[in-house]
Amino acid sequence: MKKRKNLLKQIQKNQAYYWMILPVLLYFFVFSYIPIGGLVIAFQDFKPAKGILQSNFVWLKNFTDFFNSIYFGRVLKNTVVLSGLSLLICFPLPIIFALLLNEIRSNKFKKTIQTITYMPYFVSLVVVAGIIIDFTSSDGLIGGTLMRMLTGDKVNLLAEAKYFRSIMIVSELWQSLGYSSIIYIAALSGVDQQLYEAAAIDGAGRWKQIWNITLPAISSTIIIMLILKCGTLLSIGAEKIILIYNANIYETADVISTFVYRKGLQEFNYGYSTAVGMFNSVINFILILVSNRLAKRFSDTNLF
Amino acid sequence: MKKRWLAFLLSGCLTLAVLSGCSSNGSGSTVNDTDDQTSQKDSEETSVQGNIDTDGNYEGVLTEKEVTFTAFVTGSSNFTTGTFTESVITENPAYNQIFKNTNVKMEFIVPTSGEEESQFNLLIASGKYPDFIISGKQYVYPGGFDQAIEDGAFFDLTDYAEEYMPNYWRVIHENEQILKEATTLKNRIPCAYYIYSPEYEGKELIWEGQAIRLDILDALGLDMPETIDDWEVVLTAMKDHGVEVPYSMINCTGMDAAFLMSYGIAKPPINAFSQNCFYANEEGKITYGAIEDGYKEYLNTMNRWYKNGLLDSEFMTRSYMTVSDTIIAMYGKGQIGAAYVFDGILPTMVLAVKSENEKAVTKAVPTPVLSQGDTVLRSVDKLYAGNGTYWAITNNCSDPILAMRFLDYMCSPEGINLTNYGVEGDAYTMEDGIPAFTEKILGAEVGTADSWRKNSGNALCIIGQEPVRNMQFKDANTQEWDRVWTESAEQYSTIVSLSAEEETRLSTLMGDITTYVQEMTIKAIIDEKVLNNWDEVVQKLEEMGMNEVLEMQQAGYDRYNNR
Amino acid sequence: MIESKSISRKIFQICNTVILLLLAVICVIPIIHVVMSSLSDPVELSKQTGLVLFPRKISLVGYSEVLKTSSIWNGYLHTIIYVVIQTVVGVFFTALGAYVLSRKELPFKNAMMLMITFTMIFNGGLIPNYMLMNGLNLLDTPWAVIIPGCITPMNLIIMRTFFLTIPDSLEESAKLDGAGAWYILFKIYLPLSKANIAVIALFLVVAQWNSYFTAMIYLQDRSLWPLQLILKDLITTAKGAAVLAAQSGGGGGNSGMTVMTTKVMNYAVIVVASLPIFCAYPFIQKYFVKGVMIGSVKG
Repeated sequence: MKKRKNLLKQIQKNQAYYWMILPVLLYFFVFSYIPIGGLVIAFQDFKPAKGILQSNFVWLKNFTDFFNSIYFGRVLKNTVVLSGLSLLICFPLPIIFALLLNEIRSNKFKKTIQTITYMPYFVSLVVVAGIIIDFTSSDGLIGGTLMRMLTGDKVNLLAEAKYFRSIMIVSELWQSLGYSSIIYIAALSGVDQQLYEAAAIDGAGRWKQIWNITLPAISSTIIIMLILKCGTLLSIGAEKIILIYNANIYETADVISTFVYRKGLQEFNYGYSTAVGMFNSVINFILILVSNRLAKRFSDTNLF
Repeated sequence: MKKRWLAFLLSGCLTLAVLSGCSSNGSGSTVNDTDDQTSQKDSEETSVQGNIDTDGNYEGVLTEKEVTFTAFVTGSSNFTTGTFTESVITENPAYNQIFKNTNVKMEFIVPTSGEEESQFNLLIASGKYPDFIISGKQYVYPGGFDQAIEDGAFFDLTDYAEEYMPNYWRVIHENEQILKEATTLKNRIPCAYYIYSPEYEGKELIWEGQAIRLDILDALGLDMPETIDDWEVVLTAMKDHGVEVPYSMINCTGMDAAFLMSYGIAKPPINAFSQNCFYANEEGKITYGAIEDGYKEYLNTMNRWYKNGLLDSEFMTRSYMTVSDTIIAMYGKGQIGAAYVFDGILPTMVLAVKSENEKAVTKAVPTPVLSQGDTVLRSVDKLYAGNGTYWAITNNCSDPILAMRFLDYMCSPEGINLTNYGVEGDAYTMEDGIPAFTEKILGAEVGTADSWRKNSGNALCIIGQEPVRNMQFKDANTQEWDRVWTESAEQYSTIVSLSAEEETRLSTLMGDITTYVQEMTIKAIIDEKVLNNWDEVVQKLEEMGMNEVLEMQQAGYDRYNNR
Repeated sequence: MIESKSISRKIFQICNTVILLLLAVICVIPIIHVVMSSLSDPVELSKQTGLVLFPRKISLVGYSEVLKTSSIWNGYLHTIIYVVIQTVVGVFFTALGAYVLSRKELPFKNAMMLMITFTMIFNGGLIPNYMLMNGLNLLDTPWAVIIPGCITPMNLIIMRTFFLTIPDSLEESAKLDGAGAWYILFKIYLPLSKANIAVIALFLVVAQWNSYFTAMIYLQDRSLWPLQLILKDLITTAKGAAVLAAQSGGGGGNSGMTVMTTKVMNYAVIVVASLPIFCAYPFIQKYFVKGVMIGSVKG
């Protein structure tokens, strides 16, 4: 009883905050939650002409169709592996990059590097794919020249399954390093310079300074970004892969989204693709909950 | 806290349900009322007037008060969506003339190039139909036209066509095959189909096939290859001569349509658009290329050629998205000896190679045979109600009678000329009773095709006049290539008609089958081990449900043919 | 001792600079490829495979084809309008939301965070969203493009994280002086959050500048189209027309020209579309300067 009274009192005390956030909550309710109701399509044999109300319910059939496919295991594995690698490699590197950049004295140099590294983000996927295909072909810079130097033989890297993951990670890194580091650079700019000076006086070297001042200062940013990234495990987009893969390397290149995309080419099967999307979302959400719980336990930053 | 969240979700679903009920045009509710609705419409509210003279031409305008119809247009093989820019429509003298003559205007709703499918789906899902839907065969109402009529989405022309569309009616009754192709399984006339005027008797124009560097052949002292063995000799000689890629398939599936036909596979299992293809064999039995014996023999040959370096060693990475650029570059540099091409890409390839090497000559090759004297069979879809372009009147149309008249106007002699050629005197003149394009079209700086598009009503062209048109159009080379490719194989039509449920079941099964066939084909060509175990692959296909698929296709085929 | 420190420090500085330079080079080379390709003569480009570091023959055909389209200027105009409105509105409401969510003792804060994160992961898909816009009568209006993406969970979370780094002491002292939530946000927090706002503004600007999908789905009326969509349409149209022209034999050798021209156009389009946004970045950069917080704690 007391708790309830206390709660009400608290709400009243804080009412300004609730008013402040009301438009945001409304926004999400209308533009996100209402369409989420459309997920019901996942349980239907959806026919566009019939609409949501009239399409037959097939309940879990779309899901079982997906799970029963011979390729389910493979595409799931490929998706998880690619995401895992991306997490392992493409997550820390922008942070390190931001830290390295932070150490540069010359502001001009710093700004130039920043601007240049952020450019690749804007090159359209089609062109990036073209460049990848070109470099990896047996006449290209990597497939030809580099491979010949390393192994004495030129190889068409996109023709063999074992290279695909590296190609994806490297190209992702190239395109997103600069842009992803922006948030860390911004966070770094908020670190109080006086802390560094005080530490220097106390005899701490640069590494110690980074370890004890810089990193903790941006730790909350890092942890939050990490939690968010964990929530994208099953969401590898199909666009880039479709542009560079081929049937010969489906073994490592075929992911959930490309598999569903190919299926969609036969017939607009919305129920099926919505079901798969829902499956992905559920797993992703569980991951966010788990990583959030872990963050709560091991640090003082968490989402909720 | 949890309860609140649940409440949010539930109210969200409810709101969505309400909204979808409002905006889906109640298409569900008209399922039962179709008959009532259509019979209501015909007796009143049509502003059609005017008579038809003996030639089939309409005297005067079709309606006293100007009417504007809206039409959703996606591309078809007749016109690409991208050709509907503002200027093309508003400045086009032919459309303007049509609108003036009939007093009916057409407002085209054009989706973004490349996104026709999603926009078509959204259109159907939201029920916001315009008066017409003009599309190619790749965007058809789910479940087919019968389903569309039964769902109350499209207007059923069957009972009205004879009276209100006499010109069209006459054309589709010219022979049995046309009538069959222009009507649905349940013998309805659902729309106006594009009726193709064959350039070759009873054959569909084929604009893809093999081409070879004639100058290299001459240098080697060889004749044009006719059989598979000839090809092997020619390609090996080219390889020895220094040509890097003697033969390029120009797709990454490893399925070369021409060579497959030599081995009796009338249609490759997976075509350039990644669609599955089935065809009827000589006994009228539907089969799928990958399980035939001929396919195994084809793979044998391809494997041998691959090993001997006669094929593009990186063929599997020639992704459809980027392939044309690479192939053009390679052909331009003289690295390719022969290839499977489309007549759309070949001119560019020729241009590229000629700019590097004056003496290069490219010639089309007839479809090869296994042994001398064999005939090659090619399975196509429809022979007349061509390539599936259609004009459908939706049930949202306020005046379907006028709409039908409007369509029929396009089929009248006057309409045929306006839609195929343009305005007389401006885009063409009559010479001995045959339309001949003027300099405005033929000599245009932007190219013949472009200026033709801008001066003729080709989006409303229902009765095609290919022979007369294309003869003047396509330059001599392209015509020659098309002729060679069309004449070198015997064509027949395989049409299958499936219900919505069957289509869904098919798509479920084919998802895995397609992936498997694609992977295994490529692997069989590059790896002997897989090739030797091909029988296991066929077996696996059966386990994956191939038999069920074939049964369904057979039923659809029989159903269509036996009505 | 100090000597060895400064030597190792110097080595570090040199290595650092080298690494960063290398990185910049790797990033810039493909950009050069794009720019040089866009300035190439179509026929020559079609025969070049590999990196184009310098065009074999210079030609402005790619650009003239692209800029010839009158609707491009309309597209630029609309994109700028959409970007500005969405960014201003977005930053404002995101700030409000992020601020509230960063108040540590607020009841139901976690529930709200969960609710918002949920929307980041679950999406109804194309059809439900379209039907919603349809039901709200927003189709074919600028709002259909401005509203979605205006407030994103990601931006909210990022902004909230930044707000959490501002010391509580500031808020407490302000409260003691009788300040309300609005005052604290606008007069105290926001002035300290220049980098924060700059980041969110940048993300919003970039996202809207690059976007074409929402416009494509919700805007039938071409006169409302943003730049990216017009360009995308242009390329696909040109490609289609080129193939068609080639098929019908064109006007002499004209047809071949068009197919090759589209390749150059593709590159020109990227430059035309991305140039403004590159130029915008340096202006945002100045907010990422160190030491923004100095002086505030003491006061």
